[in-house]
Amino acid sequence: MRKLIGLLTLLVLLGLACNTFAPLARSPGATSVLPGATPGPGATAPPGGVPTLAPVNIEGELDQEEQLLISIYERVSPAVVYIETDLGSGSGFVYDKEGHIVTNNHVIAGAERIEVMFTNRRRVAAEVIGRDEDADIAVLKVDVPAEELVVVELGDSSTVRVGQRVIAIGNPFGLRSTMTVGIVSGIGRTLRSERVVPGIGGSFSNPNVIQTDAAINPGNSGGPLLDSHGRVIGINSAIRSETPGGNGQFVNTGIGFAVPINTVKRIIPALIKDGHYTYPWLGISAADDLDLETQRTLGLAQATGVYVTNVTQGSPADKAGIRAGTRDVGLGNLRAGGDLIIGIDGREVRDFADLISYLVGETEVGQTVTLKIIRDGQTLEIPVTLGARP
Amino acid sequence: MRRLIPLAGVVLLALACSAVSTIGPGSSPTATPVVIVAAPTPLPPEVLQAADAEEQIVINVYERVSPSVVHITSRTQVFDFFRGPVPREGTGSGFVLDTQGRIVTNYHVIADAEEVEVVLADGTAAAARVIGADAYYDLAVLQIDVDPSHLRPVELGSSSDLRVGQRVIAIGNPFGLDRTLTTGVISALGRTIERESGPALGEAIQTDAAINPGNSGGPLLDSRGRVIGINTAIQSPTGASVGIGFAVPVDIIKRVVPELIARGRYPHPTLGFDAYELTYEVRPNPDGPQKGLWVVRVAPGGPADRAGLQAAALRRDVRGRLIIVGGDIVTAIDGRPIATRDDLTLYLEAHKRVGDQVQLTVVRGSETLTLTATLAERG
Repeated sequence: MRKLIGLLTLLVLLGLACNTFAPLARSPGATSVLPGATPGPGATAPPGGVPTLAPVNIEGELDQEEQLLISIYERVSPAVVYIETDLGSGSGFVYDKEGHIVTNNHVIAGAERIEVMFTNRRRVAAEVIGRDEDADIAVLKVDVPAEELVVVELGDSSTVRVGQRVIAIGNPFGLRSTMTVGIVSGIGRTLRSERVVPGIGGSFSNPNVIQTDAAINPGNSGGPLLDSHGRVIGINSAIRSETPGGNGQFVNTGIGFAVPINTVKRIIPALIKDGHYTYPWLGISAADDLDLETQRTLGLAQATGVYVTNVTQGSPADKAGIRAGTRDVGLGNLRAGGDLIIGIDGREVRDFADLISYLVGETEVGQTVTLKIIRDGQTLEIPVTLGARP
Repeated sequence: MRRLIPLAGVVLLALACSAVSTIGPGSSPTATPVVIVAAPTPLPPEVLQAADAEEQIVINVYERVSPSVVHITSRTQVFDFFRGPVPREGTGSGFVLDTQGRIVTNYHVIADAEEVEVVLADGTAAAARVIGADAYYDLAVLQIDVDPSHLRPVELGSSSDLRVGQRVIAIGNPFGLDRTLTTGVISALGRTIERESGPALGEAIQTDAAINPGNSGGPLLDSRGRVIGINTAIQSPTGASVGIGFAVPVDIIKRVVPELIARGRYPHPTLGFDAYELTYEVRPNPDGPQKGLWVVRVAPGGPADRAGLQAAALRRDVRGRLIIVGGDIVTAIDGRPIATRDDLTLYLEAHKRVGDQVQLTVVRGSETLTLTATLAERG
């Protein structure tokens, strides 16, 4: 197991968020009986007449929705497993009849003993057969007869839309097979990997992450996020939370994140075959979402796009002649004179998420992509042959 | 179990940190492309109707049931060395059971209270008397004397046919905010609520509807507005909702509340023995059972005593150390294996009443026996 050495300089300068993403590893949480609360305002005016029961046809509509959720739980929860290690616990799901289990890397990282427990109470030892730290995905293998395994159905995360209903099934605080429901709150989020890039520093970004308001808590990690057909569209991986409890645990605030299933679908076959996945690599650090003053200071033609702040020596971008900023304009690491990437293979690049989403989702090592850049006011097209991410 | 959760204050959201940069020499930027977003096509009417129907049902349930939800204030006096007696107040929720003025709430809402006040949805305030309470099930029944025209009893549903995924609606007074409506789904069934003191409580309904301090004692409703549980506890390291709430199911309310009304208390079944839980360290015989209850005391004349259960004896060994000698190990009840005292309590509470018989599987030395005991009421 590799040991992380703490984040140094960031390879990818993104939104400069001040919040922490709490990985959802579990530690024992307290169950609290609810005491009384603040003395509230006095009783409000009595409501008007008591309405009668809702008309039957209205109840019928609601029943359909309830029936849907009930049937999803009954169909999918047997495919969701409880994963216990010597370090904590989490969730996972059955990927195929051969006994491959998908979970988050952080659920099993560093663990010496990994046990998988199914909803039929069968508990088996699991072996890690592949890990990807950048997308926070791991594949485990268990020895269970195929007829006992219920396999999830994988969906398509490229068609996910904000507002659509989502269902999370997992083991928050060790509470087995808990179902929580919400909607997609945002799409196209980017989560930074906890892995420090060897020899270079910084970390890579994981694109197309789905944000949800379904309650996600420690122990939900690695469990599936489902659409209203019960298909997996993501793996619940992180939450944004600023309220650690007494034991320092971060908990649900209505902002959860799931690694998109399309990334998972791309990576898993390689993890099963080779134990690891090699991402295509450009070799730049960049800033995006620049404010107008910064745009002016850097002398950029536009504020949208990806502004190159550093090019890794010997990287594909370096070989292709991509330039980073070098002239100090009093903005620290943001130096003037670098290339602004505004397109890749004919697609518009408005921010870093657009670029990394295309690279991770659509390209392979060895492929040549064409970057559209603005350099010194000139728009240029530069071919870059992608390397292997270090 | 009555650990007070610090009151949540208003949390100011932190500002996102962004660097302010000084204005530098500008260049002549080219025009930023204008992005035209195509307006989505209008939704088909049946989709809108379904969405409206869903809203209507929640609105309807709220308007029908919220008049049944009450605000409960309990007052106690705490003695302060310098200031003398200082009043302390707590608030919770409850619901109207019948037109005779009976209110159901959680035991922990009114525990130790010297004065209990109930405020109905129409603003009627009344002093309440506790006519029955049970700490184990965390249930209490209050009596208020008001004109029946003010009382709108809830409809009690059933919790035996609940299913995970079913929609639920909570109405209560979180943080004192009267008759707050929150919605969610049933997240799981048959949960056990572990408590800081006292035995665990089984069969609880888990929900992702937001349940917070002050919701205690309020009803959890199904989509028809029937009570399916009473909101009682949350799992939270912060003390506020993280999307994991627990309700005591209505079938327990229907079993316990009539006893509380008739006798003021609920008769809990007991076997009348004390025991250690076997662990790797605590085992009388390494070759004997690995899990079970090691009987160390049997109440004279109690059910276990009459069934012939034998307790261990305390002796001194040759070096004068206290050791435990003998004693039956109870490994199963009615054929169900038991490993902890909670297992035993949960089984008896969920399936047995005082006067019922149970079969105990007992390991005595190298023998395995089956003893039959008749349950008595816990004192």
